[in-house]
Amino acid sequence: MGLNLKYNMGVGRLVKKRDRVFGEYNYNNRYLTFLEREIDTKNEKKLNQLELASRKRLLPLEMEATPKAEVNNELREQELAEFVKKQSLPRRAVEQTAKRKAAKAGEQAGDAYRKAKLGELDKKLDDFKAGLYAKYPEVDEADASDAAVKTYNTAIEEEAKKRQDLEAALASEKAAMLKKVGEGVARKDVKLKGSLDALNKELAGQYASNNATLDDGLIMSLKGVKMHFQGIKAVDDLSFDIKEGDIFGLIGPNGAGKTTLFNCITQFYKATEGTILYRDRFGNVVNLGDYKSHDVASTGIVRTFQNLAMVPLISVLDNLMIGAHIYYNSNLAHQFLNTKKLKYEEKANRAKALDVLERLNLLEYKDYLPAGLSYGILKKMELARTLMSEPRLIILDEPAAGLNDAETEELAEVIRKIRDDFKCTIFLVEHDMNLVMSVCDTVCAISFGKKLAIGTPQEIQNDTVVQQAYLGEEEDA
Amino acid sequence: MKNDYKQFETMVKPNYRKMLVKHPMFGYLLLAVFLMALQLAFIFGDGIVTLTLSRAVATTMIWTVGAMGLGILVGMSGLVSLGSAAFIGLGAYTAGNLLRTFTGIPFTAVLLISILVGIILGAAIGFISLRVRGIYLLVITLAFATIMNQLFIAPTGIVNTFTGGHMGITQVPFPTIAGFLQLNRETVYFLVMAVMFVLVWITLNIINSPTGRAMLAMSASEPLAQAMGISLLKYRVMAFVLATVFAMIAGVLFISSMGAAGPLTWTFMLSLNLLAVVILGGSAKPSGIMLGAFFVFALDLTVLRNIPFFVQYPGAVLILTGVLMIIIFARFPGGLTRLVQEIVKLFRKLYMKWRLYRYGPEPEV
Repeated sequence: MGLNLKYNMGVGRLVKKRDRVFGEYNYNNRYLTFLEREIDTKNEKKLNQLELASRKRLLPLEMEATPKAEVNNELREQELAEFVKKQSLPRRAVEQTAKRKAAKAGEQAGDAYRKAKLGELDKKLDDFKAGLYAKYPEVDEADASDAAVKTYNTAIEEEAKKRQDLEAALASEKAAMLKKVGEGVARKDVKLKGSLDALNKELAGQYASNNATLDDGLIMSLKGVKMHFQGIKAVDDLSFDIKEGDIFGLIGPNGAGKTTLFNCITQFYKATEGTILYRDRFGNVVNLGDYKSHDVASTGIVRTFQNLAMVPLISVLDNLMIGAHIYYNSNLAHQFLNTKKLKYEEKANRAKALDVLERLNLLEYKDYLPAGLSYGILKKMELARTLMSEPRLIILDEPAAGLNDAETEELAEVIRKIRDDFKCTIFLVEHDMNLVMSVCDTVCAISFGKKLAIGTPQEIQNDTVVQQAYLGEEEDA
Repeated sequence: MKNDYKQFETMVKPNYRKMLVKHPMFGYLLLAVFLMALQLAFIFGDGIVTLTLSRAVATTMIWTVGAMGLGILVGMSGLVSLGSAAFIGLGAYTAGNLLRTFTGIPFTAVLLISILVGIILGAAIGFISLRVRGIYLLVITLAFATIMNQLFIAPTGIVNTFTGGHMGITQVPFPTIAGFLQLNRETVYFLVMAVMFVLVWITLNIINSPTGRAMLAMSASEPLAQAMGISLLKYRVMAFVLATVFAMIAGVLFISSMGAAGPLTWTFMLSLNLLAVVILGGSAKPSGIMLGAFFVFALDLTVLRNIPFFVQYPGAVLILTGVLMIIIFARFPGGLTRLVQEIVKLFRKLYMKWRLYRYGPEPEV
């Protein structure tokens, strides 16, 4: 009995349950860092409130403790600055009207208007200044009283101590909270790991009955894959292996069947014959033919598209969140009522999306709508979206199509970085030979659905069969 | 000293007023207050607000509920349906019979039973819709609506006892809420309003939830959705279920506030009008739907009928609305939402122009 999600509901449900537990496990792992950040912002707010209260208390004391002349000087300056700022708009209006008057009725009329109006404003300013001097007179008092200084200094000390106390209290509170939550997280971790193992064990029996084995170090193996469209053999008896952690390139002339093969792997097409074996993140070997196209993502295989596929109506950040769709465990009721659980998952995924965007230097575009962005950025956004689903194998369909040389070079960097940072395997189809030769570890060349050669980029370049397929046969002289 | 303190205060102190104004529900809160004041003025103020106006507002709110479901279906999932009127009718008949047969049945029970019926029927249509796209889907929903309409006017048989045939159902008592609060002709308005705003909140939640994003992804590109692990079956069915449930709720509200309803209300015209609301609104957001609903259902009775010309020639109302629609679609493909945005932009531009004229160019800092 094979494992078939379509027909064997029992196994399908088990796999779904396992994936749910895995999602929960992921959130649990991320919880502590997330919580710490949240506590920090909350604590900062509390400290700021304390600071504000203490400043409020200290302000009159400070004024008492400073020499009267100085205080009055400062207050005068401050209020005067405010008044001048208030007058700046009317002054500008006067200038503007004077200009218009000058253009209409001659320079003199403008000047007269300006003089009159500015004179009024100046008089108001002078009046205000006089008022200020009456309110805060210039005094000769040299120093503040010692008592006031003393109270001020003690108050400062008190406030500083208060702040220290609060800081210490918050720090200990945070540590206690993290410890308490950390214990819970650890307990939950063990529990979730246990149930994951149990579920996997249960599943392993089912997988074993599949008789599917993969050599160590391989992530995917294609065995005799055929895809026929009513007599047209788009993919014809193709077999090759992909090593884990490789950047694997698939090349071939137009119409060689590269995209068809991709669609077979991601189950958009069901292969006519042959098996595609894949080792998922739990070490189980699964036959991808048993999966529906929307279940493939949960095994850790994600793909990008030859023509950009994104949602034009929502921001780049929200587009990335679509990539994390399979990890939402909150049900519909949670989503309709926007409950705490959903909010938590949203926050966790948003934090992850921001992290991914930052790694790919896309952070500045996070709130943009995709419609206004350049092709190169959108291509990178697609890559970023694949990273949201904890991928094991990323399938890139012509990632360099439509990019200029500089962008292609950058893309090569990004692809390598993704492989190293996220520990995943990359499988790409590409026409741009520079990219393939510079970035790939292994290259497979196909033509008319048949394999021509497989090896390192160097070997492929020197392969006569491949050269013939691309350049045509050499004519005998 | 004082300056430093002031600066620090503005930096640290939370600005509650700004937080309130920026809240996504703030606009709806203002609208709720306005609508409530309108009805209070109708009840207590002698003739300030006419019965026609109060009725028009209540009806528009009911159709808004139906259109919000259709907005999720059309605006977010990229599907289309012409069966909404039939479902509103079904909701009305279901609720009407429940209220008539079991006197004193709590409104929540009526609502829940109608929602259950909506879920079952919506799921059925969703499953059928998975096979067909675009205009064929339109025809299928149309066929469904036609079947329902024929059932509504059945002259004899068990269906007739349910729907009342051409006569419709009459003498439906006003519902009781919370077990003891018997509503009447005036106060049922508040029930309609409350249900509408709860649904507005839920719709906003759906739009911003993973479900909403999945629906948008599905309508943008089906391969993309599948590659991201979004099941087309699940979300298509869900979109239809939501549209149907919202329509059923609209029907429940209709019969609760009117007390009687006949088959002439749930004609094909109502479905078309609801679709026009969604397209004219230009957005699946409740604000867009409300704009559209106001234009299609309320503009006539609340504004135009007060102008003497339109009192003399009532037919001119439809002509004017049609012309306005053509202008809006030709000039603003994004619908009324876009139009409002453009108007806001225009005012901002005018203000900047006036500022430049009055104060001259901004000084460089």
